[in-house]
Amino acid sequence: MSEISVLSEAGRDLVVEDDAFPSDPEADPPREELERHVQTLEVASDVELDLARLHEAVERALGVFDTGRQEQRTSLDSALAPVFHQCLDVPTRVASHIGFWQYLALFEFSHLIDARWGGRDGIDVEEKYLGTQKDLYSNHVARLWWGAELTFDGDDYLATHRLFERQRLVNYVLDSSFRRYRPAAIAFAETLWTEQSSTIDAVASRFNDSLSTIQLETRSRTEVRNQLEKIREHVG
Amino acid sequence: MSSTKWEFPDQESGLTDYHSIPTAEALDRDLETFVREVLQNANDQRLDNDDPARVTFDLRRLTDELPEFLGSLEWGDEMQSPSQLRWHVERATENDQARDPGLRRFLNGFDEEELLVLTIHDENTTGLVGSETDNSEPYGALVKDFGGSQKPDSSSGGSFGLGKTVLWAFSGVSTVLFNSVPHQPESDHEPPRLVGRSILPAHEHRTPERTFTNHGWFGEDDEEEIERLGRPPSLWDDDGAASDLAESLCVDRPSDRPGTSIGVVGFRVPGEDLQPDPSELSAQFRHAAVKHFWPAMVRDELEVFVRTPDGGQTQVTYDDAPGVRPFVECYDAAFADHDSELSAPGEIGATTVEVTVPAENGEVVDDPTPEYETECDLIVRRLSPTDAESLDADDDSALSRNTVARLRGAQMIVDYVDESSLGDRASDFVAVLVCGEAQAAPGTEPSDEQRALEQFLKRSEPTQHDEWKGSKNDYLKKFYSGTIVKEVAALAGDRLEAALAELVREEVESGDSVPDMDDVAPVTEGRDTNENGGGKSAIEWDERPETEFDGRRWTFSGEGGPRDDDHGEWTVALELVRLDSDESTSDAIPVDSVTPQTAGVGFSTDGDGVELDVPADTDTVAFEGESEPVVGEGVSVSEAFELGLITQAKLRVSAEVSTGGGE
Amino acid sequence: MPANTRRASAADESMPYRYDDGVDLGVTGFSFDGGEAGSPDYDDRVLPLHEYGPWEVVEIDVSVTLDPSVARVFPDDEGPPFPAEPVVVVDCEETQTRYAVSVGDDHPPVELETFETTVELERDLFRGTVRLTPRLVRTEPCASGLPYAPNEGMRVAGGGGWTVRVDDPPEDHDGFPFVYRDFSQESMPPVELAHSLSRHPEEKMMINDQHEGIVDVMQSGLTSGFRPNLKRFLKADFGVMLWVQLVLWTGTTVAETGTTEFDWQAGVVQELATHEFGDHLFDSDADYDTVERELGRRVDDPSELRDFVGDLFEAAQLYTEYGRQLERFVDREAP
Repeated sequence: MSEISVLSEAGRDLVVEDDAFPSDPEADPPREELERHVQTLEVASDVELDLARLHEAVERALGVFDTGRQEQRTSLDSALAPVFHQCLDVPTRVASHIGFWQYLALFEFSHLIDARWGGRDGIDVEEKYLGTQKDLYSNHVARLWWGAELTFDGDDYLATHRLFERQRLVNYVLDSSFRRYRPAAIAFAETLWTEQSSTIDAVASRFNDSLSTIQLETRSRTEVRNQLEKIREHVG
Repeated sequence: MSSTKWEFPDQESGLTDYHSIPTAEALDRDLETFVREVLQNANDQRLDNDDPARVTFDLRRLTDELPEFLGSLEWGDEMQSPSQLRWHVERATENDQARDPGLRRFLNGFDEEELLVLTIHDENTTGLVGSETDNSEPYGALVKDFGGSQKPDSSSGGSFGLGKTVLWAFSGVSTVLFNSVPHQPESDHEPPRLVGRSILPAHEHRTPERTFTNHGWFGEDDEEEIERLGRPPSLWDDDGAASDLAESLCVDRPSDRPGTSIGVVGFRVPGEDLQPDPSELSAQFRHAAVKHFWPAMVRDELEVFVRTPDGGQTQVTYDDAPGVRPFVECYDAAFADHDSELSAPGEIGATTVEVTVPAENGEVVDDPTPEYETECDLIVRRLSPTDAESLDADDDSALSRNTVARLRGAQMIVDYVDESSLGDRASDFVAVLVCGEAQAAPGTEPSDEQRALEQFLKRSEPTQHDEWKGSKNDYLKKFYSGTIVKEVAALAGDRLEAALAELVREEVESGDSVPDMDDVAPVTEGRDTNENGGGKSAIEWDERPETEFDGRRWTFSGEGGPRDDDHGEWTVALELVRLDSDESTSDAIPVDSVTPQTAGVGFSTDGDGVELDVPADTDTVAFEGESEPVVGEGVSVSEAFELGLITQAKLRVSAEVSTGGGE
Repeated sequence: MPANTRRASAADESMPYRYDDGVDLGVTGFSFDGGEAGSPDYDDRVLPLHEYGPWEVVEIDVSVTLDPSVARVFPDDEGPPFPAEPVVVVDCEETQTRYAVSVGDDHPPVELETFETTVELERDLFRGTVRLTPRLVRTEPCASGLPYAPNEGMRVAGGGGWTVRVDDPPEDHDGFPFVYRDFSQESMPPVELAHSLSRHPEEKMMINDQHEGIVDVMQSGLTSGFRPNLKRFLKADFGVMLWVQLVLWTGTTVAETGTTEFDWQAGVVQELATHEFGDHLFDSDADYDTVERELGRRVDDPSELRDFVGDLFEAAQLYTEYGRQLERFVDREAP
């Protein structure tokens, strides 16, 4: 038995209704008010959150990467995603709880989110703190963790690194339905991590269409990879 | 060979004390009470070892064996004498001051051809220990005094000692036989020992100056002992006499283990049929045993068997009273750690109910206990569907939802308290309130507080031990000084309710949804657009639109027209799309050609699809068409599947019909 | 588009090769942590695990039956036994988990018969609902090619699945969500307002969470007693208020724009057109279009509106069985 903190739906509403945060870059999350909307959730299994190590890694990464540049921002994600996954040792049942990610984003990692997404035109920063139950790519902490969860292979985070190196790739994988079959998510990252966005789109579309006849869950990672390579050749 | 006889002591006539029926109090008892009290006696007298007390209910209908039984019982023949039972029974029915109509009915209905005898064997119990005259031991207490009770410890089920009178109330002839192997045998005797006792209205002696009293004893015909004791002593097995007699009287011991076999002669349920249905009785024994003694069963302190008429015997299980199962689940977990919240069905939580045991009254009790502020354990289970099924499967209304079973160290359920009025954000539940010595985990000694609470609650129980009663309980008040009534009442009232509410209550905050409100205003799913063309669709299809893959292209066809003949121009748009992994639509498959099979129909391409334009005077149109090839040059069919070119596909048809003279 | 146009649509979905629906997934039972057994809801093909608990692992006993009709998806020379494997696909959207469980262990090839296996789900890995879907998948390429599925790994037959409910289905997916609101928060209606409807897009009934007594009633899961009885009555009461507001809202939209604006409004019109709710207000055989037109007209005209609101209250009370619920409440709770 373990306990985790989650933000309630009312807490989410409070952030939405807050005029200053996060639209004003200087404003912090209204943590004092939000405290009232933090609930404790009991989890059957052991959950280990090594926040100290995670904060240390975030600080170090923010010191190394220049978040003013697009390619450095994706590298920041690529460097941090495996660390988030390792330090937040929770089962998927917990990870599927959006309130868990909202709590972490607002109470623990708001400075990271601000540095990664804040102050840029056309970016809805609020969704990087909140996100919804259904999508994996909005809430930034959830995005890092789930990207790693879907592409890590034992202790090997190579595919995770590759996935986060291309924003288009990570967005596509986190938005697809084949992501739920981990060998497919890994094969996808492995095969396409060096490709242009247009190629990624075209391959993904053909691959998705092929799954109306192919039973994805019976295919191995190698088989999926071979298929993706064939498609890449075809669309190229 | 020893002989036996009945002996009813006599007194000078006119002493009205004897013109009452000692069993009258027990006469309104039902079978459940009978089972409770019988089991409680056995459970209390369990030997201090790791084995359970074992109780067997054995109901026999005697026919061929009846003459031998009656002979052994000294029932009596034509040549009647006061050493035989029948002589006394017949006279007892003539007592106008203490009528026992049940006795009369029994005699009238008894044709000496058939008799029901219920024998209750208990094993691994103390048995009837004690000499003929030592009233402090169980034997002496049984044969001598109905007002006292001799049981091993303070947690025993009885306080008033009238428990055993229930046995006689269930005998049509008010006669009960005991055959016992005491765990400490009398030094100069060989067990078992056999004795009988009859409780009848007082009746006339042969000489009018004297009257026979209520009590008759059946035992060894030993003039010297009868003279000394005023009754016959128990018959021992020194020369095998007791064993032989016991066998013909249906009270032979099932094993060598200590314990008592009690024979209820002419078994009947007071106020019911003289000839009860044995299989129905058997089910009732089973149900009552489980309903009240499942805690002892859970702790392996008691096992109960019922012997069937064919000689087999089966153990009583929870299945015999399925409604106890959710309570058992609670109690099973009584000594585990628990949450203080019940978030899911089937979850078990625990809390406590405070109680103050008043100080014992030093004038009545030696070494009185001080006042103790202590608490009872309340274990609550939120019902799962399986629990609900178990409760529903039980006809007993006491075993229902939102009920609290209460017990103390005797491991018998005292009562089931209905708490269904409690509704503070609650879901259906059952609970067990564990009090006194029952709160000590198995294998551990009860604390002083627990012992004091045990004693307090035990003294609060009336004869039947079926409630804890503080008000109008002079017996209880005699032992204590301090708050009594309120403390007893709190365990069924406000304090119990508050503790339950604390456990089952759910916190609600702004933004949480209100449960079960969907049926108030369901989200209606918008308008039915007649996707399948059924019902009142504007188009009637003679041949429903279909698509098929021919190995290279998708082909399609269909035939239909407006349902309503009064129509203007109409159009049919056709579109082919690929379906993807989620069977949702993906990219379009361009239509290559379409051939209207009907004259006068024009068509136009509309992106990748095609639209048929039909004049007002045409009522139906048939069409055929095909897509562009989906497999490109140099790509094999097998590859085309891998590349997602050949996929599941969907033909979409949408028609618009202008009505009411749209020309 | 002119108003006097009627539309119709039709569709046909097709696999590019022979495909059969003759795979039946059966659930014979399930048990938790090797102990307590539960009963499946065979009507809706649902395993209501959320009604049990707590549990860590559930074992679901399933059978997959291949109907003789499945033979048609293989060329005659391929079998039986056929080069294919039955699987059950386990899919949980919320925890991003999808995999196939092979059914039986000595396949392929398969005869057309019944296979049994146990699907084990660890609670920690799932949330919400899990879908179990049976499929038959080719294990070798097909020499004959089309119209038979040519490649290995293709599904050639399937059938209806089962839904495993790990958690309570969220309430607000099924109906207009009723939520507790703390009216002391800014942007909330004044405290005096015990209930209200917020504007588009999500209609909500609001009950003040500070009203402990009402909350106790609404949260009671008991099946008998004062609070459950009152709850049944309150539901009818809220139902009347809500329906009146929904209908008036829909009516004003129709009056202003000639048609409904949101799906739920079309749903309200549909409800009026197909259920006895509408019979009290319109002709009992009035169709959707008629109801929509009439609703707009009666709300638009002030003289009509007065009568209409009266009729509407009556209709909503009949529809929610307000009178019967109140009668029952009085009957059971009268001192």
